[in-house]
Amino acid sequence: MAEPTHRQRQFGLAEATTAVDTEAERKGALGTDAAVNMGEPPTGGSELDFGIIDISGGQANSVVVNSRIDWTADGGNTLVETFRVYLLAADNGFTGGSTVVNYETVSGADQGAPSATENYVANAVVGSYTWQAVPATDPASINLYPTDEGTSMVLSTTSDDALLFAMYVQVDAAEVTGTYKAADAGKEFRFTFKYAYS
Amino acid sequence: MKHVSGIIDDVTALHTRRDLHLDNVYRRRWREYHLFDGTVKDSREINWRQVEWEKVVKVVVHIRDEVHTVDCVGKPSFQTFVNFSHGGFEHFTNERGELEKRAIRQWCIGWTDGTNVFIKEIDFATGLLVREYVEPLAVMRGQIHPRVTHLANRK
Repeated sequence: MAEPTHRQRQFGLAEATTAVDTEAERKGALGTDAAVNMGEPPTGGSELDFGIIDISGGQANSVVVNSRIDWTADGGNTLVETFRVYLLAADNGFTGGSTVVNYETVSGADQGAPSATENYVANAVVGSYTWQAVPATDPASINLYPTDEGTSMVLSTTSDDALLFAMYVQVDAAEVTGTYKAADAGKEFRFTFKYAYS
Repeated sequence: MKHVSGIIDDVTALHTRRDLHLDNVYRRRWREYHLFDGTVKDSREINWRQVEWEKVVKVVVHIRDEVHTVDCVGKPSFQTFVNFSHGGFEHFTNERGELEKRAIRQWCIGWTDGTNVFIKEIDFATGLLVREYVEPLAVMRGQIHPRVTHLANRK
């Protein structure tokens, strides 16, 4: 069996909560979709872009960005599970003591009682979610949850849902300025995404 | 006594399995599921979910010249084996000190005592052991074989 095929897409902050409150919607096309390859070498500007962060006045935050990951071909497999994202020290060129990449798994409104996730908020800002830092090592355990807050998703050609998550970068006042991306020496900024399948 | 060249031919045929019309990458990569009655099921011929999993006493991964084994010997708390793969992408530092990106391709085998899962993570390209680690069964029940109904928790 081959590895299943997954994709990452960024969607706009203004996407309505009603646009992502069903499995079909979360997997389907959204009006604000943009293809993005989180951690892939930059090609055609397809990186997840946190924008420009002005630290001239002290510690500052980036805008919040929304992403989702789903699977479009099962490769003969029937399940994907244990989804996690992490930012290895070697992939992170930030040196400021309080520069942190924060994330939160979000769920559609069809998850009426979120606990491992928070319901998606349109036009989210830093104060919209209770964030957690992206781990600096492989957590081995799941840290990205589907809306139903299970640990797996069924594959039947495609996955039965998508992973939605929000992220932002909190930048230390003394951080070295410049553009942080990919494998640029001293300005590395690349994520690892890992999951299990069978 | 079998002629030496005949023995070599048999070994070559076992490893390459040209009769299976496989993609080249799987001629030197396969998993074996050893049942208690001596039967050996080959992943190149059967999906693991079609194996009588309750009868499996040993799982073996063959990748190139590397072999990794998990069995139930000496494990009184043994419940069942796990058998899955890792996908995704990661970054690493090459020999020139440069960051590179690569797809994550790992085969994982292990066993569970019903509470924790003891896993061997094996690099698909080289067959080398990446690491051994323990994970709570609660976060990976989906990887339990469907015949092991007392542990599996299907959606």
